[in-house]
Amino acid sequence: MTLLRQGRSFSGRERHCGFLNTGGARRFADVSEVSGLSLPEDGTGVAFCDWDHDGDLDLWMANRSGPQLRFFENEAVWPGRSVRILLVGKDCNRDAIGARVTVTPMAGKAVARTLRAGEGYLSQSSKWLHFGLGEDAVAKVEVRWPGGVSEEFSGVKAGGGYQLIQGAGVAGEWRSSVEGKELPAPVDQPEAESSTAIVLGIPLPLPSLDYEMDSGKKIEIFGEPLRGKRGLLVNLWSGSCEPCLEELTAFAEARSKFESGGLGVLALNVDGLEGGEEGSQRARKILRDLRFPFFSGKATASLVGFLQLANDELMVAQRSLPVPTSFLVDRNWRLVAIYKGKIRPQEVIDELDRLDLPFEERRGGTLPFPGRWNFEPKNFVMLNFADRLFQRGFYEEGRDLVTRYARFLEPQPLFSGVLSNAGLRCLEAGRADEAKEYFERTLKLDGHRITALHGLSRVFSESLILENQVEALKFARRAAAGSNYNDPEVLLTLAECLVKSGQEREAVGVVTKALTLPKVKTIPGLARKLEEVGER
Amino acid sequence: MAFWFGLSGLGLFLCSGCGEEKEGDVSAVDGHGEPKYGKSDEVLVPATGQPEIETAPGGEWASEQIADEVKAVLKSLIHHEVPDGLTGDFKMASLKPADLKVEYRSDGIEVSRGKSREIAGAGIDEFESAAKALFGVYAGGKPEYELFKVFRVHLVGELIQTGIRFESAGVMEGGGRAQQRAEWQCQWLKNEDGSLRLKSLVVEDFEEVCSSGSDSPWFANKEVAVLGGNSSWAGQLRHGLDFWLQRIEIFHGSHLSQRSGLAVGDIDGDGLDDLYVPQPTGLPNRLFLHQEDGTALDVSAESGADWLDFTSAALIVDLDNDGDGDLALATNSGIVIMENSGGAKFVRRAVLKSADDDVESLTAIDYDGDSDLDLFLCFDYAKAGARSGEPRGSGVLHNSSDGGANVLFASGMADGKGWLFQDATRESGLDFKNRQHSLAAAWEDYDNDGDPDLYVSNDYGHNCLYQNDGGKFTEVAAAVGVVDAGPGMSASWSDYDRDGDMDLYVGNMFSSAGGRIFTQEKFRPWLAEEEKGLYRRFVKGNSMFENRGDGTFTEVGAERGVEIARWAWSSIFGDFNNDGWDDIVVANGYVTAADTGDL
Repeated sequence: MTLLRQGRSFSGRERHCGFLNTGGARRFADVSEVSGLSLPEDGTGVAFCDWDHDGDLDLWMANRSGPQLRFFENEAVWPGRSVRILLVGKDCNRDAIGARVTVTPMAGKAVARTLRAGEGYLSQSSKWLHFGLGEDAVAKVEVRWPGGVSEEFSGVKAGGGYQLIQGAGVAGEWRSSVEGKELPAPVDQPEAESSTAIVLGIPLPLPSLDYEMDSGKKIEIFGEPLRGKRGLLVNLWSGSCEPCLEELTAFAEARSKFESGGLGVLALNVDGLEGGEEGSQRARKILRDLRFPFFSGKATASLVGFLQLANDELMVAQRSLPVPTSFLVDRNWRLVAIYKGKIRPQEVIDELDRLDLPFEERRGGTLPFPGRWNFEPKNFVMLNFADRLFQRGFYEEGRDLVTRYARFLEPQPLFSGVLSNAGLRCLEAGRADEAKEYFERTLKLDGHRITALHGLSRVFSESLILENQVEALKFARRAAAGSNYNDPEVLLTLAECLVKSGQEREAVGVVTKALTLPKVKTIPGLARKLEEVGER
Repeated sequence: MAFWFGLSGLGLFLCSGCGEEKEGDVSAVDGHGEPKYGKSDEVLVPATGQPEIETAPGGEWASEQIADEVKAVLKSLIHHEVPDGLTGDFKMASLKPADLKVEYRSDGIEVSRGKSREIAGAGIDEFESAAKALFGVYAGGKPEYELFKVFRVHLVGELIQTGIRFESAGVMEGGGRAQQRAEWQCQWLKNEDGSLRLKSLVVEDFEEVCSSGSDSPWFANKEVAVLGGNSSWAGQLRHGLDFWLQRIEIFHGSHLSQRSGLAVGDIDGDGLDDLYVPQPTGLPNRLFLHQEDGTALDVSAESGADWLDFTSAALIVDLDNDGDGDLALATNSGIVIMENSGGAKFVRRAVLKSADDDVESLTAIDYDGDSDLDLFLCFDYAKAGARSGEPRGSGVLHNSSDGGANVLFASGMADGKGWLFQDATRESGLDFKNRQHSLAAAWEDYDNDGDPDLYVSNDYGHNCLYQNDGGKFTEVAAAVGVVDAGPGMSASWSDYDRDGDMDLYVGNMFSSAGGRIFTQEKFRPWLAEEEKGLYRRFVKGNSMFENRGDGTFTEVGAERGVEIARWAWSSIFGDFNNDGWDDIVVANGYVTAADTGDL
């Protein structure tokens, strides 16, 4: 799934199939190619209809891939004629869904069809029922209406379209207003936009972040560059990228517009990231030549990694950031928008103006097209993001986030889970002091959280100070009791603490109990560890 | 996009290390609960074979490397590029069988079939002349398209035996279009450097279809002509889900597995078919009205039906029996019921909520004979937290019971209750076996007793046939022979053999990789033979159930030549050549990315 999020294919480019019925209980012929149906796209739905009322079946297909719709117009010249029938129910549902129509030709076997609403997969075909006749003529048309009443209709001839009204007995000929008309030529389509603006529905608060001066000095992004501004545009650029240079030139020219709009710019060059001074020197020269009137510097690997992670957490599709990419941050350090490709300065300033709109209005405006919602989203983005920062080893940034925005995060029920996870990650990374702090903060919010009790016990038991061993045992006992002595990992810690404080007999009992738990087998190496403690 | 320099070249983006995601105890933080990833983890792993290759001891899943090598050698042999791709004693049968019989001829279409197992000759010269004879049907002796698929690999001592599916297509010498498909059995020997030499080739099956007349295919793509005048075509519909997943935030509800279908039907009562296009999260559903010149006009915004919620399926049906098309929309916030208040303006009348939200196909029928339309909605995965105390998905491929619960909503229209729909799943008996990851349903009176019965295709379960008896259902799939323990994805009914009873075609998946791996002795050796059979069944392809006339069925997919239809999604019957015999269209493909290799 991770690979799919990164844009890999799976069973992709599978061509659609068409099978031609060669006469009933015989083998169908594979006509996928000669029919033209075999596009290598991700088809989902397919629906038949005679769109142009020319007497043969066309079809619409829905795709997961682009384009999301295909219209297959039946252009072959078939010698056979057809009869098209539209039902009108009177004593049943008006669409007559569920009715069965049987058309009996003069010479051949009868053809029976049931009117359905929804079939195949996710699809509904036309309610016009289509009967191919070959070169035969119609002998009899019978409708079995929903409810079971059968009715014979007269007046149906090969080649026509008819409306059959329940109880009428005679078919009404139906002539279409599109019959015999050619489709107009396709309208020229605009090229796809080469840049993308992702405006966040709920701006994402950011932790403190640094960039680097040419001297190597680290500078706080939200310090000087943001001072006195309504927002800051953090732009990643490369000297070898033509659109980047065009964009920087445009920024320089729009200086007064940016200033009156209260928008600061920080252009960060990425050329130094591959090592070597050459790229950075060139970048300096470019900015000098431009008399670049805004802040500038070098992006650090850690900063680019952080921004990539933010992008990946916001979108299902995780793609590496292109250059130029710009991040719009407001004065409260919230990420407002990500612009991939070149931007228009006015677009960014307008976005700052829209920040004060209420959520519902803002949410609509952040999507590519207007529309209406039934669904109420939950704002879990920041919690997820904080959790992911620790997972990915951004300890400093994570720490800053959960500290700086504690007042906002603490009322959220899942935040204690984020903190205890942070503790676990720090513990694994050998950052015991931070781990301890996160576990303690967890317990303030949720005094019974096993992960935190267990984690604290591990933090203390790794300490060399004797009093801490007492604390370790205390927390291990609470964790074990809280988990009803059913978690073998907690019991392992408890047994270790017991051994360290000289209570071997009880430790043996705990190990014995732990080894009986089925969960032991699912954690590699756990049983062996338990046995080792038992032997000690 | 030519000027986009990816930062990935700098080796910096974090994802390079994100293979395994470690979950802590906060996985519930993801507000969307249970990810639908089970699908990929379970089905995809064995089907691609890749993880197996990496993890199996000693690289025993060599069948995958062999498949790649086989395709490469055959491809170059058929184009006379590798003279050393053959063993010294190479022998082969004719690629185009000598005893080819015309089995069907009608409307300028000619279908010939045959096989050749007799050795016709030896050496590279024979291969060259056989290839020349094979492609002789095409203008200039060259097809426009060709494909080799390795669907089976067996090792017999030194010999490697492979089953190959070969396809080609192109313009015919003298006009018209042709296509070929064949099944070859090949034997190979391995060189010391691991490359392969072909030892023998016989043709187990060969089919050639020639369609004289036009050099163009029967169907032409005219979507731009019909829809291209609307800005929503270039802006929205021209791009696929992957494009939008890079632009619509997760918190709106975006998901990799959101699939949407379509509804074709008359909205405004002018007898012309209109088009309602459901869309993934964050994109408005689109309503197009058929114009007199054959184009269709986007009226989504004015119609009031431009929902941004994920909508899997839609129905254009007359729910209040007033003569115009109303809408029933399967969204992840419930079935949205909209009344057509005239002129394609819609008013929301109800939102029908269910326990689950992973919506799939939607169907309408009057199941209880009270003259109004009821709704049946399929669900794939169960909603996380919807039922207390239930464990997470079992990941069982062939008989799961942990999916979302399908729902039947009975309309109150005929009883004078207006837009009141009531959950009738339990009282009707449809709550039996209805949590098997259902993707599709189709109603049909299969037993010709006058009321509609219901077939449900289940992705990870046995499919169900609910026999209707006055509005009460009994599940009879096993009794009548339509269980079809494959990954059911679609269902379509037709009297395709014109014998007066309805036959059933079920979309499944055909995976040649699955065929290669599941038939290996080393595939999951701990499984019982019966269970392995179920895995093999899982990738065998689509099924055709022929109604015997007494309400029981015989599976004839392979005999009818409609079993192998790739990774099928929707399948549907329709007589597209007007000869009175229903043909089949299958929409295919799982995830095609824009510019990267297939997994």
